[in-house]
Amino acid sequence: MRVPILRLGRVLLTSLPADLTDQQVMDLQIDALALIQAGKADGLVIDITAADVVDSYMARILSETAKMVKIMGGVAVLAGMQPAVALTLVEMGRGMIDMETAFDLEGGVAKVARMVASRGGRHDEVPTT
Amino acid sequence: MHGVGQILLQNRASVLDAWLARLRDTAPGAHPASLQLLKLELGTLVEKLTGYFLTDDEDGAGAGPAFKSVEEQAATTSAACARDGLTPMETATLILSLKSIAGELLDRETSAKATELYRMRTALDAVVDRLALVTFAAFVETREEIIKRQGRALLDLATPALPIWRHIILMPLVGIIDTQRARQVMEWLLEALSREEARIAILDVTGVPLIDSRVALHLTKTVEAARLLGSQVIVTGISPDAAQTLVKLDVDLSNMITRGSLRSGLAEAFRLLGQHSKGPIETMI
Amino acid sequence: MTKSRPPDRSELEPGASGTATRAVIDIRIQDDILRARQASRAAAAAIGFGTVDQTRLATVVSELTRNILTYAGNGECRVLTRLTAQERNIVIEAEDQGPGIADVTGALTRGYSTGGGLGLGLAAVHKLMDDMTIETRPGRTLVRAGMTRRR
Repeated sequence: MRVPILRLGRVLLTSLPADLTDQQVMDLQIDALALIQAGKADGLVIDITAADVVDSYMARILSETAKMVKIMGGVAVLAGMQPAVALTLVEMGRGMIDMETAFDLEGGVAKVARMVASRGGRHDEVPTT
Repeated sequence: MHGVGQILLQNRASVLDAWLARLRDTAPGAHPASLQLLKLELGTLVEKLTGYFLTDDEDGAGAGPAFKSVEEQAATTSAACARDGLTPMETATLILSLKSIAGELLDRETSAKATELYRMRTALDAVVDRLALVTFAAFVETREEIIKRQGRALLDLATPALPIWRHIILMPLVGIIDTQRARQVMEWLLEALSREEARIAILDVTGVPLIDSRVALHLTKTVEAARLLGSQVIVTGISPDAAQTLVKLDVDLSNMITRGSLRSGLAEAFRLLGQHSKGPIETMI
Repeated sequence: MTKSRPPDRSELEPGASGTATRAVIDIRIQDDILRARQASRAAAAAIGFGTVDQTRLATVVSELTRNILTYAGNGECRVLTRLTAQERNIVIEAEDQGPGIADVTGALTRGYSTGGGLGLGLAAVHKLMDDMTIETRPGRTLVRAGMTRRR
């Protein structure tokens, strides 16, 4: 089963289930990039509140997804990481998660909004001066 | 050494009295209550010792189940001494003083020939010497146990994470940070951030006497872990000494927000929170 | 003062006793990674490891079992626990009949990989656990990683 991606205005929201398989993460990456390419959104918030394990593979796919979103002109934020998961990732090595983070889904959306605003606004709007 | 046993049995009270007098001389500062407890311990020891000499028909000291119980009692007595703050020297002196107390007693009470007396005293000396060794070993063990327990207590001494404002927690670190404690601190800080839904943690290191590259490494790890949670850490109270060390060691602290005082740290926290709240979410929806 | 340790058997707690094989999981498909992770977490919880240690262990199992799938195709993951009066101990064993690790030292260094990954797996396991041994040759690889905590 694919992980659903919701759209809230210009932000894509997705919440990873606890028992996420490698295939599901890859599918999610493909789906999110397709939505950004279709011009449906400027940002992506990935909520990982439910994830009790983030291993090096998953960390890499998530970081890579963020970079891909960025190359396509969007921004991506990882939200809601559990303290134990954060601790484990830090112990595993430097820079395992190379992307923006937020405390929770709300903070994630706010961060996307801030980042989009600071670089000059939404994709689909002509700046008014 | 039946003879020794008989004499001890008949003069148990006076031996104990003499021994207690020595105890008072050895540890003049001891609390009356602890003297009372030690008196009980010494009394039991004299009793066990008497029992040993009464049952022991061989001349060899330090064998048999009877002696085992004497050794155990000596260990218990010694542990009591250690807990009551007697030094190892005082404890050993106390046990060894039994030699002269019981020796004088033997001289006085026995009508035996000089050779017999000599044999008795030799047996007694051997037993007391052996007890002194047991005592010393037990003393060290008890002290080590106490030190270990105190170490653990210090580690468990909750480093409090105080919610001082909405979205801000403060964690003052006091004392030496070793690897184990650093791990613990990191765990507590992250859990507190999560529990209090805090966006900012102020980590005040004014009370940390030594900040070297190892501590700095743990600090950077903590900052990075907090970032993964979506929170920020402000480190305050780094001393001039620590700053010199960190720069000379070339520790990379570029990702860390540092402020000189707790006060300026708090100001920075409010500034960062203000930035957070300015998110124009509506424009995205 | 060295004290001889009491034999483990006399110190057992009912239900969580001595050395025990907690789980043996066949690793063939991706779902098996999840099953192994859950098994290790349950075993760690059963002998009293905290949340953070449980997470470390589940992460380690994830790395090791994914290595099995990536490099050998299939294999086995075992979770063993040992409880003594002084310590709780958990060991994760990952075994496969794959081609083996040509350069163990390299595999423990960040950045080395032959399977298309970044090769962070073994290095991460090494950092998260207290001890680790690797026996490897073409046809059989056994990685054993242990975590020990004072009680």
